[in-house]
Amino acid sequence: VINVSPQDELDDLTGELAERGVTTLLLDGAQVSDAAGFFAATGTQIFGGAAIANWDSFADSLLNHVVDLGGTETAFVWANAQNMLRGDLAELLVAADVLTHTARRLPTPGPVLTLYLTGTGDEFA
Amino acid sequence: MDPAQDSSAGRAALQTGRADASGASAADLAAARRSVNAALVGGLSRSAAPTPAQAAIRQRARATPVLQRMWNLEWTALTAEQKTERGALAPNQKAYPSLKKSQLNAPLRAALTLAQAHPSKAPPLPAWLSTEVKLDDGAGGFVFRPSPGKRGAGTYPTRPRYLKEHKEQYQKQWASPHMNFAGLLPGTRGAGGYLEYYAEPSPNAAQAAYDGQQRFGSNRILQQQNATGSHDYWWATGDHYASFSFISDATTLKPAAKAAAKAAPAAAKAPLKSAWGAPPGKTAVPVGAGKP
Repeated sequence: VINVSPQDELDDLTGELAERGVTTLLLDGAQVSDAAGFFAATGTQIFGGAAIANWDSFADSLLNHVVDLGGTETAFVWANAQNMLRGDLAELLVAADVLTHTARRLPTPGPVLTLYLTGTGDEFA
Repeated sequence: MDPAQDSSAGRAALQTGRADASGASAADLAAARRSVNAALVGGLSRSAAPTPAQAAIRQRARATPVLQRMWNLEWTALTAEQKTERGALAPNQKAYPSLKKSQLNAPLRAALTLAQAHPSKAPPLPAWLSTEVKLDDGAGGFVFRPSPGKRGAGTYPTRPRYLKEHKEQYQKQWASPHMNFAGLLPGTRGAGGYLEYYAEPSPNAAQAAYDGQQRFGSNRILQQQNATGSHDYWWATGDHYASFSFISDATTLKPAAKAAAKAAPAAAKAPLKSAWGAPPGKTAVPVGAGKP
């Protein structure tokens, strides 16, 4: 399940997630319009500078990172997702596939991973 | 998946379905969600403007806290056929480098041996992990690392401490599915068909990978599941999935095939046919035919 909301409510979203004790992994997608940009941005913004080679590399890093963070729920918040939506729809679909697959692969009992997309435009209104 | 079965905060809030102060009822919210679902699931690229009624519903709904009215989209995984129809997701056609088992680095060679002995169930802790865990002195356990990361400088566990805390994770991920999301391995991209086994991180790369959140390193062994055939094929990556090598002398007979071979020894001596019709690494091989 993917959650979608308007970009101008990003602060509300992250605030409410924080209030609920949800750990947030925030990806600013302002410069992300293709897979290569996604890997570079997640490597820098989420994985502490790790090199992310491709979707398999991302999936493995994300799974271990979420487990490493501990907690009961982690939200992957992808802000400005409209750039990827318009830049490379096919890779956005792959990203959603990878994220949902990773969420299902997390150990049970263990953390829950959810995906939130925020962006501008009618798709996110 | 039924959203009602999901436990996330957003979905839990959604289930309350209560009317908000602006007058947007649960039915209004559900209607708005359905319209967004239809637009996005039907084709995320479409940017159709909402109808006046939809716009009015959304306008009213915006007075509700964002998590309560989050548009929850049911994600329906693309079928293999749909993925293939998309040009960007078409199976690759390439040659694969192959290595002999003896050419693998020591951690990968050890993991291959372990994986072949325990292909579906986690083995006892491998020697390297047991040894490393014993290095945890039980004191502090944390060291200063100025590299960026969520934990921040000074709060990283030492490597032995980390592995001690996560050895269960290592075992749980033994023989876990590998989906081939990048499409670098044979088969339809994202369709899976592989099992994955963590190997000991290479000594030289271990610290850099560890600092970069890839704390189980970059060495992985993969078993290619050949559901209809009689053999299992083995692959290795030493650079965290950036590239893969076919292990040319590691192909194993499936248990059923072993039993059949016992019954008919001559058949077992027949030369193995390559999974793709030609030896990996020598000929460009189309890999989208559905069979590994």
